[in-house]
Amino acid sequence: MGKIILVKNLSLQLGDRYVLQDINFEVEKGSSTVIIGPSGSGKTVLIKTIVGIFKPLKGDIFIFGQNIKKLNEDGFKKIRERIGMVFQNSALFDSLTVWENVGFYYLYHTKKNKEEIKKMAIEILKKLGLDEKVADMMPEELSGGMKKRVSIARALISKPEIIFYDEPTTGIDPITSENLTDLIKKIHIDFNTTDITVTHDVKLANKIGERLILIDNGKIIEAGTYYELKEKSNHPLIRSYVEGGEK
Amino acid sequence: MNGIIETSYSKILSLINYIGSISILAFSSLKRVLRVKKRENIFKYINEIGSESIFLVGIIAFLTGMVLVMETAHTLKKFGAEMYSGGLVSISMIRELGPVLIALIVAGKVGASIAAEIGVMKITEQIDVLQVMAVDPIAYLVSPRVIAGLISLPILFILSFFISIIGGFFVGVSVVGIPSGVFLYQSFKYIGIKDLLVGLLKVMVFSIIIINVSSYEGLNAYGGAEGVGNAATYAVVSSFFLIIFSNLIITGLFYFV
Repeated sequence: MGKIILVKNLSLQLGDRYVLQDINFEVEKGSSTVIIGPSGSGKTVLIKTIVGIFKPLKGDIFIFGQNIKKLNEDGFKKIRERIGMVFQNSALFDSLTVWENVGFYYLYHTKKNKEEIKKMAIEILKKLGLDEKVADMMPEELSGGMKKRVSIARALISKPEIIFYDEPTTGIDPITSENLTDLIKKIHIDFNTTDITVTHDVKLANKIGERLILIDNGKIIEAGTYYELKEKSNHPLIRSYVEGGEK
Repeated sequence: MNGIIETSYSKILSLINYIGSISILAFSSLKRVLRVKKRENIFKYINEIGSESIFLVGIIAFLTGMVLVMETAHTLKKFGAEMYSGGLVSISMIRELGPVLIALIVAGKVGASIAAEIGVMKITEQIDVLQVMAVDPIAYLVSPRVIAGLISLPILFILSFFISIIGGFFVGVSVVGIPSGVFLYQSFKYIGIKDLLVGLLKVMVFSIIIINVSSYEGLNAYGGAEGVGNAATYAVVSSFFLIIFSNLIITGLFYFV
């Protein structure tokens, strides 16, 4: 397994505030990494910086071996084509139907006909346990759990090698949350993706995280695999993770 | 005293900064006009900006034409020159009132809705989704609206010009008693191609201002529902200010300098 993401000395300033400070970590291809930490610790900002939504103040981010700082627009576009992201509140486009949301990537970037894209969207929706009739519905007609699945379908349709999940279980009921956690685990295996999940949910981290990064106040406090953390860490969040059982 | 100077200085600086940011967005959106991929969005926005404003613009132009004749004919009658009121309507509508009125109507009606729509997209992370999907938000959200505005506003301007003459004709002929042929002759006698071109230039500049100011406010919205409301308000207020300000500059350049 090689390094698919490498973050070196990353710092980010938003307004007057340093939200990320000297962040260093790497992600192995095919692994599942969980970034955990309290609210406002900089977890979401970190993954948004990796995917290029925020521009870092200093430091380097290598994805697929390429320093994204040195890429031009087209070069970065090629990287982004191999990345999927599931946002905290699903972030579905309100004005588009479910299948248009899922197939947006192909509708925008390719000349494939709409019927073909709709078929692809339905296929992926079915794989994620959603009924075909959902395809023609509008996002506002869906429940929170369904929106999350549609959002995952949208991230998966372009067959990404890396998927970022931002708080995937936030705002949904415990049963749906459990189902979604299983689904994320299944996708990781079936689609052979590299997953990076941001959460403050230790239960989710327990189930899916092979490697854990604890972040607080924009700094990495602890990082390591289950065994490494079991040995060395006394941080309460890490202890809860470790006590959840072997990965 | 120092406090007043400092406050004025910082307000001027932030105004310059704001105009600079809008100019950068305007430049970026115009640069991306040829890179608009979803052409059907342009038609959708032409409908939103143009078709849905026709009725309101038409009524306001008609009433303005009527009022202009009422105001001018009353004074001109004292000098026996009421027949010139047709010319006054057409010149004011083509040079000043037409472009400014249409721009203010569109800014109030469409600008607020653009800022709110893009603002909601910003707050609910839909703009971030676009970026992650390698979609340039300016090329997807702003440039098609710029094209739609550049098509819609000149059409609204021409329409409003003719409708205002009809409004003026109605009062001039039936109330003031100006012969219909004289009114129409006077209406078109004093306007030249320069007036039409400057009027068109004005509405095009105003259209770029409205779309970019509204999009800028939407793209910079933050803080939930209140943030979206603020974005819509700022979009309208800032558009109004910049429309009036740029109108002064264009008029000065073409008719004063």
